[in-house]
Amino acid sequence: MYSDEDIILVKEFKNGDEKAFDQLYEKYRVPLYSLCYRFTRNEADACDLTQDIFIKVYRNLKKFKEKSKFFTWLYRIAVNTCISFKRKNLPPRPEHASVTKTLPMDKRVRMKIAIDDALVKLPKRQRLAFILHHYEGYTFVETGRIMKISTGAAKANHYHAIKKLQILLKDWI
Amino acid sequence: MSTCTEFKRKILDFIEGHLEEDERTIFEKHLRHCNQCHREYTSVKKLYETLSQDEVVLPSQQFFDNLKIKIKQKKIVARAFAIKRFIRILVPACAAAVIVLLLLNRPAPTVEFAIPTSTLLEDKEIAGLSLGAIVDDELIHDMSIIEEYLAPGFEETIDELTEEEQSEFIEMLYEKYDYDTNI
Repeated sequence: MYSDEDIILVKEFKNGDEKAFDQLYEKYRVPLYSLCYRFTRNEADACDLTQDIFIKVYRNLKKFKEKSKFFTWLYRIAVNTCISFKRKNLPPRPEHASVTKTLPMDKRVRMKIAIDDALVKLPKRQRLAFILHHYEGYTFVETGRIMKISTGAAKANHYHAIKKLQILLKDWI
Repeated sequence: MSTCTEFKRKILDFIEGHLEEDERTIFEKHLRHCNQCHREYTSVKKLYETLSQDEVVLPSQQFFDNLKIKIKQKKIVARAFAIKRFIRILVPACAAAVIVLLLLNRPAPTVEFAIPTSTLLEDKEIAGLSLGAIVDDELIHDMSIIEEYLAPGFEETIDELTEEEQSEFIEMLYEKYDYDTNI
């Protein structure tokens, strides 16, 4: 599904075909934005991160040695960018929890806020392992390769994330 | 699979559908009899259901369109910046190199000595270096003879020659240096 088609596009881009990059962009822009949004739980941050990631990808694609699958390389850039991401002089995130208690809100909105808060509280690596496996659908082998950790470590990170989420979202499960 | 700990480890695989058929059957049988494992299974399953409702609201199509342009603009800006930076480094480096070359290739100071032409002409090496194009061995020899005759005591020397010999010598000189005697 991924590798053959992607590698052809990568080779075409290396040979000067800009449209090949556009195709890769079209293919991965939504998954990468989703990853960034799920990691930051903030639309502005997700937009900034997505931009940073694609700029890095565009600048470095010609250096990609094709030793790994393209999506592994791409998501590794994304993961590293997420881990090193620092918010840029934005006002602090609103305290959803207090808002939840004081204002009558639609259940779905409150649940979303609760998930936001819970995921943000996870350590970065656990959060990423969880997002990659649970939402992006990558196997633990692939998650490990993307995060440059062993399959077992990827599985353990995911498992600990689940355990914490069970506690943090206990009112919703 | 024999203990509850092992069953609990398999809950995620069971929910995600990664268990083999026989493992799945054993797991389901265990859940029916073990309240603790069943509670854990229910909790994780509900967590998955809750998280599945977490949808990502995508930004507008315009954001993605603008981003595609921005990515490539950044590349151009980066290239221009790299060229500027290169020039900023290259220009002073070239200037420094030119100054160093000028200093190294500055002509050495010259010292002038007053040396008689005859001495220079006798020194074959110097003559070869400076007058190689116009001076040859024969000329040096002839000039030496002239020098002898022009030296102090010339009168005596020339007097030793007969009149005929003197005329012959002068004729020879004229002939040698293409002096037209008919002028």
